[in-house]
Amino acid sequence: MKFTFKPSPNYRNEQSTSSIMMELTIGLLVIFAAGCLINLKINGTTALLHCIFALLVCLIATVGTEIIWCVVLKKDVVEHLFSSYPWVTGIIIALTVRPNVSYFALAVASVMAIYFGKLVFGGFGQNIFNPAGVGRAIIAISFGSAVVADVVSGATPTSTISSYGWLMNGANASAFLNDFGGLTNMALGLYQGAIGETCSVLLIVVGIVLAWRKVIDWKVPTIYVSTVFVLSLLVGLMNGQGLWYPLFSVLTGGVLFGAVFMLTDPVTNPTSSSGRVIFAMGAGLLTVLIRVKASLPEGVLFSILLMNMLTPAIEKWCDGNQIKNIKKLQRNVVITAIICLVVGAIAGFSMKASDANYVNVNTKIIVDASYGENALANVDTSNVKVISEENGTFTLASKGFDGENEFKITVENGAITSFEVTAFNDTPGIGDAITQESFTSKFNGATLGSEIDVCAGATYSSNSALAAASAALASGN
Amino acid sequence: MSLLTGPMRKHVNGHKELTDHVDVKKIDAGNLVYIPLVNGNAVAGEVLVNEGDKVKVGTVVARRKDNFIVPLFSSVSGTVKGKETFMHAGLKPVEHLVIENDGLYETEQAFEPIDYTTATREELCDYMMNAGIVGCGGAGFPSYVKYKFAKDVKLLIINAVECEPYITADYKYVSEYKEDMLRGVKAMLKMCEAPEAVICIKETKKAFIEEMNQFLKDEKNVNVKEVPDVYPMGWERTLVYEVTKKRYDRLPGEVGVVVNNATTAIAFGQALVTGRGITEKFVTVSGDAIKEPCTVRVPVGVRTCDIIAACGGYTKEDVLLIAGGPMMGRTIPNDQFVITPYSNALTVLENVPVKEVACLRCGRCSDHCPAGLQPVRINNAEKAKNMELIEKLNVMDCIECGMCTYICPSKIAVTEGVRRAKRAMALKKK
Ligand code: SF4
Ligand code: SF4
Repeated sequence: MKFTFKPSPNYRNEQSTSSIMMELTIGLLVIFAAGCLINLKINGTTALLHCIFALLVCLIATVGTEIIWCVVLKKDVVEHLFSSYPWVTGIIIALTVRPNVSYFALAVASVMAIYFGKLVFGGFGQNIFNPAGVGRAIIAISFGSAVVADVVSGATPTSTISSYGWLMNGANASAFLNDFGGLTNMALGLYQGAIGETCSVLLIVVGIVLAWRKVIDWKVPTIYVSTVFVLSLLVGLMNGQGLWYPLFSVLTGGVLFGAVFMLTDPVTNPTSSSGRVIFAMGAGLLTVLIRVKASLPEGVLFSILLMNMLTPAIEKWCDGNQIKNIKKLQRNVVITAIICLVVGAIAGFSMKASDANYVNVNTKIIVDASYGENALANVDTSNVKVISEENGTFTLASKGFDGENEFKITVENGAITSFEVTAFNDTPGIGDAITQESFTSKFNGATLGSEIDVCAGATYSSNSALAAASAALASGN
Repeated sequence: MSLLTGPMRKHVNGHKELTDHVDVKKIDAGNLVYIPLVNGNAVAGEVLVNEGDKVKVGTVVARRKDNFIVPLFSSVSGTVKGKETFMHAGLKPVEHLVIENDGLYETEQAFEPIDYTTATREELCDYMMNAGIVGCGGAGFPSYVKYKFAKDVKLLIINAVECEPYITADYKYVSEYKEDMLRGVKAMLKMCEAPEAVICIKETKKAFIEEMNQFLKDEKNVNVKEVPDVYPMGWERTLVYEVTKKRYDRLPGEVGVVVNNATTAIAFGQALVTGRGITEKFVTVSGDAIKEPCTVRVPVGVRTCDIIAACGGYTKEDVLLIAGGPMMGRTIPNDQFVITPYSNALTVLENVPVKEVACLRCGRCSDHCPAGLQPVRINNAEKAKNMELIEKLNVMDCIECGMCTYICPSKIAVTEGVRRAKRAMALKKK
């Protein structure tokens, strides 16, 4: 019989750091699977393969770095890996890049993330910066152009809007949103973006599950996203933008991913509740500031790294008995909230909507140099379907503003002899200018080299007509 | 505000089902009983009997006599055999008065019973002092002190929460001695001049609440109050905050409240009619390394090994034998120590090694510390020997409730680190 002495308490909660990390890993893999499906749907099989390989490269590089480190320092590899969890960093890096990033860039970033982001600080629990954030920043800064061609096509919503200074006026804004399928599409994630950052709805669901399982602290993502929303709303309202603007701001550019998986990294958070509230608010403010003032698409990433740096200061600011110092803590939080609003308002005040016309970024226009730039031959025909063809007479459907218009076009010897709009589905009163004789008559005798002006005020509908004509001419040849 | 401070409490798995529905087992004293000549941390200064003296159940055998007066009673009838020194439930070597049990259990009134309905407040306070009524928080703090100086009290809180895992003794005791408790509570109401008393019971103990409501249905100013099933709901500050939503600085009296344990109320209620102090205890013997977990009824001064034997013995070779519950109770490295007037549990757990990993900085310890401290910060400051920071972190407010170690996902002995910081702080203060 043996009676062992151990100081109290001799009772432990079931949850362990390992179980937390395992559940986090599962959450990340769910997001990864969704990212793969999205890429398969919108970019095809090559993109899917690239997603999978990106993950593998990151995993091998992160875990490999720690294994080598263990071998060099003669540590027990298995024990070290299961108290350091390098794969979490690996998966996060893979999820925050687009599938076309070069494997080389990923490998370098992963090694640096583990080595400079974690090991040099003394390992898990000691690091100041979120290791995955470090890796992602290295990719953003050093390998911005290291992409593999032909994997994905088109820009991301955040990179697009950031090139317009995060503000667009009326028509431009709606054309822009339309290009990416509107807010619904953004919520579902069916647009170009980082592998794990687009599927907003799923991110919210996974975030709620993880918070409910007490894997992440619900306060951090909730307050962060709310701050981004409120400040974007403020900035938007000051510049005549509607509700779409804050919604767009939280749905894109990795806000939700960062909120659920990066900002919540406990190691780089303050440990006190009030500290976390302040931390999350500060990150929200920085995200919006970096976006609107520096016009960078990576606002989320840099805001997280900057706040990581402030963590020790916030920690000190909130020290002491939390009950006796409740007044001080309340004051700290209120001050932070006021700073957020004031700075946000100043930023919003100094913004100006871009006057530049919005250019469709997602269409690959193949320019045929033997024709003029504006010739029918160079019109984008990717949204045209040939429904039937009979002795040189084509029936075609071509996407306009919000519907598909149908055309009946006859081509003889490379020139159009008859042009008719057989069904018009765009906005009545605006786009229907294209059904008028004054417009359709322009196509009589048109060839691939012809340049035809669009109807003022009916750009989309006109373009659908141009595209149909181009497609008919191309097939008729 | 829990957004800024965290919840400061947590539901813990109580394993109460182990002993909840097991009948109370009566254990008789063996040939010898050992009355620890100690009260809390203070040694009983005055021993009133000599070797060879005859004593009865209820005879005052010794008395603590420093700032407080607390008598100690014999729990059996028989002959005083002398003194013996060995380890006590407080982990210190202590003198015990050895009494040979004659098995007759003859009783003696140590003092005249008193009718609380006619007695004055002062008489009742003196009576409580003479009866040796102590709090059951393990420290054995004499209860009369609370009443003697009570002023403007609006509410008497009777603590029947029993938030430590595994323990069911208090609830069985209350259930068995409802009348005595009510008498005690009424006398206490008189002593603190409060208009109302509430008996706090965990909301998960549905049957018990029902039973108490039924019993109290004719009482106007004594009611049951259901409280959440969280740890440490039984801690005075947490309980007072739950009931009144007020925080106090040093003593509950500041917010017009007196808190007393239900077991104390029973002991007092009994003393009022029997004229005897606490000579018998309900003790829960539970855990995952005891054969037949149950609650036993046992005279003060019986050795633990005899109680364990009556519960079927140990089921594991290497155990943690805890005087009290697993959160705050001390592990004792032998099973020779005896039941004291403020014991209520023996917890026997298998000794499983705990593997510690690096601190995740998750903040759970800070979020759940009932005293509002930041155990992780205190631990780091202690490691860095940063006394200034330790002081700023109010380390002395720690009640060693064990929550921080319990909750830590990295399995760090956080409470131990806080204790080290407290010791360092106490040294510096000297
Ligand atoms: S043991 Fe002390 S520091 Fe730890 S939770 Fe309890 S009161 Fe807080
Ligand atoms: S609960 Fe444990 S891991 Fe979490 S902050 Fe406290 S000491 Fe660190």
